Amino acid sequence: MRSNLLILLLLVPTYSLALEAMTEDALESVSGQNGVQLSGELTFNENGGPLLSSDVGNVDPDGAGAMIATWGTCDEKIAGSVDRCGARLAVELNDNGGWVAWDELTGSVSFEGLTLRTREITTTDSFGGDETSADGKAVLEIGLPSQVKFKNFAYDVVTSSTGRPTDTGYSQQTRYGIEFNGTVNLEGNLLVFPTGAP
Amino acid sequence: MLAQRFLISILCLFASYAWAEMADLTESEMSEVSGEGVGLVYENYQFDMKSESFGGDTGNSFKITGIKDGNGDDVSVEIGQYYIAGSGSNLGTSLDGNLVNIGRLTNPITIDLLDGNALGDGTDGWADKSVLSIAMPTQVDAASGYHCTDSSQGLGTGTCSSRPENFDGLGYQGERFDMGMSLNRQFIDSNKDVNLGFHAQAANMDGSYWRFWGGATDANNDGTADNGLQLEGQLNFYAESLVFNTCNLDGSSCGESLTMAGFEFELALGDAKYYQPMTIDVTDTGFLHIMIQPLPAPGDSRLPAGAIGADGLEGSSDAALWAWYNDYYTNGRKTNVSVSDVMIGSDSFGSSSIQGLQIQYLEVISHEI
Repeated sequence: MRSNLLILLLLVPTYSLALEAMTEDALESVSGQNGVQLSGELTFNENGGPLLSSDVGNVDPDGAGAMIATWGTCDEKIAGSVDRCGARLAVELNDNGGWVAWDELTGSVSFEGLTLRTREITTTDSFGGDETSADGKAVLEIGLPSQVKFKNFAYDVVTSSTGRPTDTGYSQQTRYGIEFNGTVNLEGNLLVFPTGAP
Repeated sequence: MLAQRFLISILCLFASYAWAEMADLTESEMSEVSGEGVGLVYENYQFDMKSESFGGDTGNSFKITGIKDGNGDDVSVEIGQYYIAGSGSNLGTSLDGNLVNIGRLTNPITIDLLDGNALGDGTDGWADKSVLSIAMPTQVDAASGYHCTDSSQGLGTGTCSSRPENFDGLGYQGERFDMGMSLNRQFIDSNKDVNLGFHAQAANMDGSYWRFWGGATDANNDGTADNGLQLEGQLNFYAESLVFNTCNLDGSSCGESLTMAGFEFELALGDAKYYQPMTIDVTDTGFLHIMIQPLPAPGDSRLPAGAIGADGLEGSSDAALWAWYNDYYTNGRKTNVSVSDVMIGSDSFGSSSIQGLQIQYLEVISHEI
């Protein structure tokens, strides 16, 4: 049984071929399946976290006041037993240039009807005349969902001396935050295509 | 063990039977490969968010947090409405079907990697930098452009590539957007609550760009590498009119507006060619630190050698160094702001402008209050 399998495997490589260019005729008969539609809901740290207040090493190192845990649930934050809840996405501006972070990211975003497809611009499109010179241009069309729903979606934009709040020397200032609930209307398409660099 | 040996022989066979291989590109093939950036066009675009108090869907509430008043109390700032739509939205009240394109297929928003040696002459402040560029549609020759603020004018009247609604009488929606935001600031004492509205009509941002680079470069030539992101920005904002108004907290009963007609705003931040990049970093205590690096003084090793005479004239100075500063003042990047007419209600206060402002040094550090 095993030897049969091996023989089969040995035969396979003899049929491997290089990628070859398709002829014009062959290309014409290929049609791409036109696009996908996406719906989704993205929920970040709805109840807080990502760590539990009891996790090892999850202690605020700045020494200011009581040494409380850094991360925990949002309930624990309200109760004052942890410093923060929610996710954190931090970007370092440069080597030792400090950090900009989206901090305490919680809540959910949902959308319905985000579409992705490739599209060829033709002279029947309406771009105020530009469609003539762009005739035949292939673009990626991202159809924006008509509605995006936010539920308790919140984050703070902060500037911070370290990437993590548990790093030594951590000090942080909040620039502003947002707190979104409800529906935002979006219409239209985002067209993405390559452009030649100078 | 046996299986392993067979596996090895199979792998050997795969290798010997592979007929494709990576081949070097020839010089002529290489010359046809160009770095490609990404072009973006928003087609038939509209964005609208409206809080419940402004007539939006039940439960809609969009808040900006983190702002405190003088007593340290939180000030709630609610976004009553925020919209981006086509021209003629009547301060965001008629949005149905009012769509706009942002960017043109022939002149899109671009995200690109640029060669600093191509941006400058290879010896100036751009030399040997790899630059990430995010740019709005560019400005064009006056022959193929449109007036930047006056939507009634046709082809050949200005340098903006974004076209006004119904340009040249074609009935097309064009690439100029209406944008507005109405904010409700709510204090603990609700008698102090205010609404503030800001609306831009038939606006475009042609010619704006942000160029970023980094690395441990020495921005001010003091011998030590400077931290922080380096950038040069051009922020252009043209609008047929800018309207500021204040209404009730539900958006009704708006008072007289302050209108700036023919608003042109061209802000130049940093000037990398003359060794004046803008730098952004965060201090050890977490405060934001923004600088436009100082203009190099005579004696700086990046400049031609010599000195400038006490009277500042060419005759008493080293010619090459004098020419460098002369070039900076003549061709350096400048900020311009102009408004063709400022109106409060229907009273006209005439035009005002700031032309040719050059920033030689700027340092901003945020502080806790």
